[in-house]
Amino acid sequence: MENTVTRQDLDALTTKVDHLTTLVGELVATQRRQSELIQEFTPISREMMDVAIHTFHQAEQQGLFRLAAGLRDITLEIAANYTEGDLAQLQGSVTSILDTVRNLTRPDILEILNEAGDVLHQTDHIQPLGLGGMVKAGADVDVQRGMAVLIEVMRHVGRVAQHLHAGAAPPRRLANPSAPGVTSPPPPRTTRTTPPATAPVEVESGAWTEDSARTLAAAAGIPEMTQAHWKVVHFARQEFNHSGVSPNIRRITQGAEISTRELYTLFPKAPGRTVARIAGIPKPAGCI
Amino acid sequence: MNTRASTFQQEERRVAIICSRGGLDEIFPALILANGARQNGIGACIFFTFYGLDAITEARVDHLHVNMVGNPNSPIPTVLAGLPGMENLAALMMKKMMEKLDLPSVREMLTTLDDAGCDLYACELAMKMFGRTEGDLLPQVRGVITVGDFYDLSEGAQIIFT
Repeated sequence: MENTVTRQDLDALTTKVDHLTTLVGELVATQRRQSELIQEFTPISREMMDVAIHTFHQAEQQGLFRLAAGLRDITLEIAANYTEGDLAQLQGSVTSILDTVRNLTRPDILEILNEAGDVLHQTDHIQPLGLGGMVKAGADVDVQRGMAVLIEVMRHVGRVAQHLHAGAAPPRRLANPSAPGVTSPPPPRTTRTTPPATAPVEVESGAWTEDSARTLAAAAGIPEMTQAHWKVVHFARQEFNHSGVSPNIRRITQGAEISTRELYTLFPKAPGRTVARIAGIPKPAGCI
Repeated sequence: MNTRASTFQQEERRVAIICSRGGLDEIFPALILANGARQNGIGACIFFTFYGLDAITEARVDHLHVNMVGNPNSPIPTVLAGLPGMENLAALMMKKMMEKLDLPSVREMLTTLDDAGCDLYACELAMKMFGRTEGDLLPQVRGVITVGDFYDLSEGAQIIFT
């Protein structure tokens, strides 16, 4: 085996070694830069840690963490008990709520409220007033002024409350009660012996037909019987068969769920009588 | 003011009712005559004058009373009926009885009348006397007219004075 190491081999080796040296040199330089950086940064980061610890400690001293935990609990409670709808409503009224708070916390109003509050604190000083005491107090100008203020407050509250109440529920007895339980029961029927002024066609339900009704309607001046007309006529027949008394206009508006105005439009002249004639029942008696 | 179209002049037979009293028992005859007329296909209008104006005044219509004092038909003797609070008590009892009998209130009757095509008018002189304006009246009232206007519109009609 040849043991000779040629010059080329040595050159190649030298190049490699040079290369390695350069790399090591770069590595060392990088290492040095890094250690410099760490050295510079260490005191800064230590100080940052100090400041952070100090701040958190202060915050805890001030109870902020307890407060945050409390707020978190409150938020959880709100999330558990209120629906989206409630929150949306609150959102909508936030501005007016804030306005009200702003109005109520104006300095002069706050002063009045504080003054009133102070008095309530000192109730042990206040003796019961007899009749004489009341008269004497009534002569005090401040008392009179206070009473005037309270009366104005009552007046304003009463005015608003009236409107609230008016908007709340629809009046009981107008034409269209929808729920069956809402309609007031019909007044007790007294048996009447007045003979019908116009003889009904046939009172037994068997003999009355819709065709005969149409003929009667035409004779009474109603050229065409629409769905609305039939609803009223059917109700009238039903009512007569059920209670033995023909319904008057008021009863028809309640039971057939139609307004008085609509009834007079459908049957222009004397609706109570016309409906009774078409339905083949006696005309309604009664004055209302 | 009410701007509903009026059918009063087109009816063959018409009654023009004057309501001049303001007691609960005095207003009802006018209202029932008008309602009965409409139910029978007779044209009707009501002219509210003097204390009858209370029936069509928003602030008064729910507070009408029956006069118990000096009223020969009153169930309470005058000496008791004059005591404070008795009139309110009597009005309350009457209201309860009307509810029990399912009788409509004056306000309700006026709504029904307007829906049934009865025209309601206020007297101009009475409005001046009581210091009321159109805004004080119920929405069913068609207008404020003088006695001359009333005679014009009731021409050919039967006039009933209550």
